[in-house]
Amino acid sequence: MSALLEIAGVAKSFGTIRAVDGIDLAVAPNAFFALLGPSGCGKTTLLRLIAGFEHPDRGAIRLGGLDITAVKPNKRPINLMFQSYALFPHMTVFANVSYGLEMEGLRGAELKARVEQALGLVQLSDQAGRKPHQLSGGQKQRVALARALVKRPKLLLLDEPLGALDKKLREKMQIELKRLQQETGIAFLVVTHDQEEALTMADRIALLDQGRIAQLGKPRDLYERPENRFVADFVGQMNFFEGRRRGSGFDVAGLGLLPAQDLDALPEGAGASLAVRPERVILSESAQPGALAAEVVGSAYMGQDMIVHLTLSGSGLPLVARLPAAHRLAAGVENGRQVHCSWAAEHARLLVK
Amino acid sequence: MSGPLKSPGQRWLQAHLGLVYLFLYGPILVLIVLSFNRAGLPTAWTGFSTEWYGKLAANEKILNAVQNSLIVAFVSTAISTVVGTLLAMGMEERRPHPALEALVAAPMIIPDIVLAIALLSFFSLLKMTLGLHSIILAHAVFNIAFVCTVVRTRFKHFDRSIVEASIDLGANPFTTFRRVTLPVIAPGVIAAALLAFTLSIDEFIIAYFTAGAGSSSTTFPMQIYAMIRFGVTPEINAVATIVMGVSFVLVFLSQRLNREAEV
Repeated sequence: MSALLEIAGVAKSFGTIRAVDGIDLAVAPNAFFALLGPSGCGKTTLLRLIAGFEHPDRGAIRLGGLDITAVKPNKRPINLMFQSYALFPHMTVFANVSYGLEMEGLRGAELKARVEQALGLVQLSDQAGRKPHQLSGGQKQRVALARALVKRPKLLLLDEPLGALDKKLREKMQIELKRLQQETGIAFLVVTHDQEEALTMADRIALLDQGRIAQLGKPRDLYERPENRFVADFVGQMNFFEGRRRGSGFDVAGLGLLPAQDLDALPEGAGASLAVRPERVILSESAQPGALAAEVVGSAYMGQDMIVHLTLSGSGLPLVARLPAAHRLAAGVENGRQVHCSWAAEHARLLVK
Repeated sequence: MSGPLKSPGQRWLQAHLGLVYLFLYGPILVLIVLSFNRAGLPTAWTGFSTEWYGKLAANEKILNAVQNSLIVAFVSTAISTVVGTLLAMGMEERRPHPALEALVAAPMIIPDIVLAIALLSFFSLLKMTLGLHSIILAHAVFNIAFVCTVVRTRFKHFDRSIVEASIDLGANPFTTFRRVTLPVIAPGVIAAALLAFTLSIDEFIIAYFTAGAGSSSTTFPMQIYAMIRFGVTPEINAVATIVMGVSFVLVFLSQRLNREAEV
């Protein structure tokens, strides 16, 4: 299937700041795509370039094979759900939603039917006569969604759609957005700084760093196979060890040879970072061959899981482990306790800078 | 704790407040009362009468002056509301240098007499004829500054993203202005227009300098000034009472609109 949205070599600078620095990506029809990154990574600028509110310095934006780089935002079959929702404060919910259809020249019964359908889709049919200031945050967000969806765009852009909602509502809306995307068949492109949100909702994620794509892939790829240190660090928690390959292991000063995945890809003597997820660290009370001795220096109970902060004996390097609260050791974790840590080679990833 | 009983300090404060209000509104109260005085003397009360209001309604000169003032106020308000609002929008969009922003507000602060002389010199330099049209232009000068300032306070609470949302939904810039921007800033614009109208209708110095000769460009305050040279009559008190009533209502409406807009 050919891509719905193609971004080819797009760059945009503001003064001396390169907000978007040469980005290529493609969004498939019917996709739920997330642009993820810390603030200032260029994700919002990229979103505004796609919506047409900014014009790229170079590169092209194509939608359904047509070059839309020079097309004005009001002529693009793309709609944007604003972070602030940007509801028209002087109009009712109904008028907010009907506005975009009126601009298409729609009138009368058809207009009314389309608006009511859109309000039904976001379960706001009974709020049609209200003004935005009479609505809760969650309701405003759904009006903004209905207002964008009612136009049946080819692509819906969502700028931090859940940013202003509290945690419970956010989790509910993540599922809701996913449902709406599947029901309408419209491609969604979400901008977010919340990795959990991106991992939960999107089927593809582009992680941005300083105006460039750090990694593009499925959520599982980003979490389990990060391609560089930035990705490994940004998505989830990670332990890093700096060292170099020596023979059949990865040599970290003070720790000796550690097991690692795809060691053969690294030339003898070459430096890299070894990355291990906290939940992949195995803790035991008794010494195992190859396990590292460590002392517990802190712990945090998280309900389901427990985070244990350790200091590795000899080297003094920190290590974070995450174990299920039901784990045999979890109940006995206390500061000063001596434990032994290890991990399987396939869970230790080598990242070359 | 203190209950309905007031401490001496509180009583003293209330008395003080009463004195301040008396100082501010005492003379005006006297004027209003005297406008209903039967006798023509401004010094003694001789009984209630509305005859001065009747005489006023029959005074050709005053009616002519009122008409002139209304023309000046309506036209200069119309000009300054349009220009001042557009100026405010432009300044919101472009964010000019602070010095330029200060220059826009300057006509509000420059003493009227200075502005009056400056305008008169400018009009003579251009060899412009003087009359109602020159007063209208002169009033527009300071009113644009007031309108721009009032409308800009409204923009402080304006979420720019609703303009982008309108364009995103397919509206062109003009439709966006008509259906989104203008309705949202409307309370500020109306308040600004009411203020401009109030300022224009009782403005004397600038009108006096920029008016032409003869009664064709005599405004209402100029007419009162002419009459007062022959002494204060209850007729003038009646005129002043009406003017004050109208100004009071306009200022009240303007402030109320601005306050509602804050919500």
